[in-house]
Amino acid sequence: MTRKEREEELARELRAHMEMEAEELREKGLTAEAAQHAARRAFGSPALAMERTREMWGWNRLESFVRNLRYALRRARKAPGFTATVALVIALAVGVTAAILAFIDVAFFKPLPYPEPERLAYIAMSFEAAGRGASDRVLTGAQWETLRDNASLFEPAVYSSGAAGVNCAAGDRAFFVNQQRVGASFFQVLGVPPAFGRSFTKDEDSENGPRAVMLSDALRRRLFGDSGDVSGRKLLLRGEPYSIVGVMPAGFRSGANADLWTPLKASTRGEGAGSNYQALARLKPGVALAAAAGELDNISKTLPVPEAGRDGIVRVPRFKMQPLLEGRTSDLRKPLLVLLGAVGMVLLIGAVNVGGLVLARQSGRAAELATRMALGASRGQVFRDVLLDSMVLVAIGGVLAVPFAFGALAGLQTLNARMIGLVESAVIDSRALAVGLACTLTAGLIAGILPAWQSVARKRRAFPLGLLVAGQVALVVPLLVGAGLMGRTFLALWTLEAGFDPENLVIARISFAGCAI
Amino acid sequence: MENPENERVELLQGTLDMLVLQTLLFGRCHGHAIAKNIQRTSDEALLVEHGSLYPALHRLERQGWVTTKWDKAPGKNREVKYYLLTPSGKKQLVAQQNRWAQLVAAIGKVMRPV
Repeated sequence: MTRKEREEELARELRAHMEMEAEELREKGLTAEAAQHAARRAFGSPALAMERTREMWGWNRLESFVRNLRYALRRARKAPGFTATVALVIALAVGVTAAILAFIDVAFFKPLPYPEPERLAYIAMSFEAAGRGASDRVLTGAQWETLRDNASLFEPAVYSSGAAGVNCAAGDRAFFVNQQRVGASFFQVLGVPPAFGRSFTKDEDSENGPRAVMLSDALRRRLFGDSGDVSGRKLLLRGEPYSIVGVMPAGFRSGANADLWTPLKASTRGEGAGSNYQALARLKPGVALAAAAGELDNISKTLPVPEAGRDGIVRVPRFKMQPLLEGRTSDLRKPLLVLLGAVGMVLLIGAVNVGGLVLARQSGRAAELATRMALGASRGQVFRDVLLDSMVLVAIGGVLAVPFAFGALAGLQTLNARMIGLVESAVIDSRALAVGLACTLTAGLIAGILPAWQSVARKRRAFPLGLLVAGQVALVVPLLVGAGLMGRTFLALWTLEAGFDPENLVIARISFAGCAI
Repeated sequence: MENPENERVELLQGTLDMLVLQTLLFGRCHGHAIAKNIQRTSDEALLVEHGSLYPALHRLERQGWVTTKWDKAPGKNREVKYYLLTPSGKKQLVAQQNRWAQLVAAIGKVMRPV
């Protein structure tokens, strides 16, 4: 029997019941009309009888949910201004939270996109000054060579921090691209072989070695289209000819936002002796991080101790080893957690605000709800209904949050791309969406529980609204203070004396494509 | 015979099913007759609410203790839905009667004046 047939049968059954009742009363001498009335009165609410019987059929729960959902959606549509306000508040809060969580995921949890990431380690230079703690720095060319020549438990690789923009021309096309300099062992240590050609040789990585370049897959496509293996071809970097020795596979990320790589040519003197190198290492199979760190300590002892700085303090250089993920993101972790705390707070405030709005609107619905309860709706039903109402509003916000999350992520990435290559790998994926969903549901519960509870409270004036206001203020004040302090700092930086007169000065960037300077 | 309103007793939770099954023991019945029957045999002390009766009937049907059939009411030009006791419904009735007897006896022991 279909649902409709069942409904009709039940209605017919109840109608027959009432007619029989009326018939009996007529036989007792009532007029037809009075008998009808009395029968109806005796029967009570047919709607209630039907409703309870329907519940008996079992599959009613889902259906009543769908019906309530439709009803809630209709109510949301009827108050577009209110709905838009609520949805926007939630969309903003959830979207930004999801974006921050995507970063947190990359910085804390997601394994790095290389084979056996647990064997990868990050090596930093730490300068220890008596009584002053340590400060982390990058390596010099000389320190790198010490590391390279003495390591036995791990294979180290050196690379430049970040990528720098250069002009690149191939054939008749020229692009402004990001170049990262890496040591010969870099790709091998990461464990990612080139898709075409080979990676750099030691010869190419040494001073006066032949000029070689490796391309990202994206740049290969931009320069040469779909021509496949392009190793052996030439291109111009800063107007100088380089030969392409290899192409990395699509999706490879070196940690910096790089389009092409050239050998680092680290050295103890000349340009290669610079001091902005970073090092990573792959532990030999079966070697524990602690064992490798022990060896690193011994290597540290061979480093020459520099003379005291201008402040008269001697800073002793020491290599330090951490898991690669931790090392790469060490400067990112605390700010991210602070940001997460802030957006979490915003989300909470948003949810409480929405709760307040729904509560205010609820009072306009009091008559309707009272009528429904008088007609036999249980407290549980009304409670669920009102809760669903807020959940629907928040859920609309949750859906809107998805584009917001993508927008916020893109915004944060353009802000940070130059500084932290890692952020490029943050994506809004199923994990971020799942957490966003959880945030939305929580927000919906927070926003909905109070109005729902209020709607079925025995005492009408029930909830002390002052408590709500107090809670909100308590949440907002720290946030405002934090934002204010940040604003102050920003303002101070803005008005900081630059040391020169910026009046009538302009900055221009000129790209000299294809010509040697 | 009419019982004044205030002497009506509310049905104990879970007893309606048993009363319905008991009523059907004497032959098929429709909802209206079941309600009237319970009211009459209890001297109007028990009032069967229709909001409870029909859910109960449908519950019994789902359990397989009664079956239903639409049929002409005798002497009337109208079809009504009849409920019939099934064999498993009879067993269920016996089980419920036993439980009820135990319950009455137990409560009687507690409430007996010392």
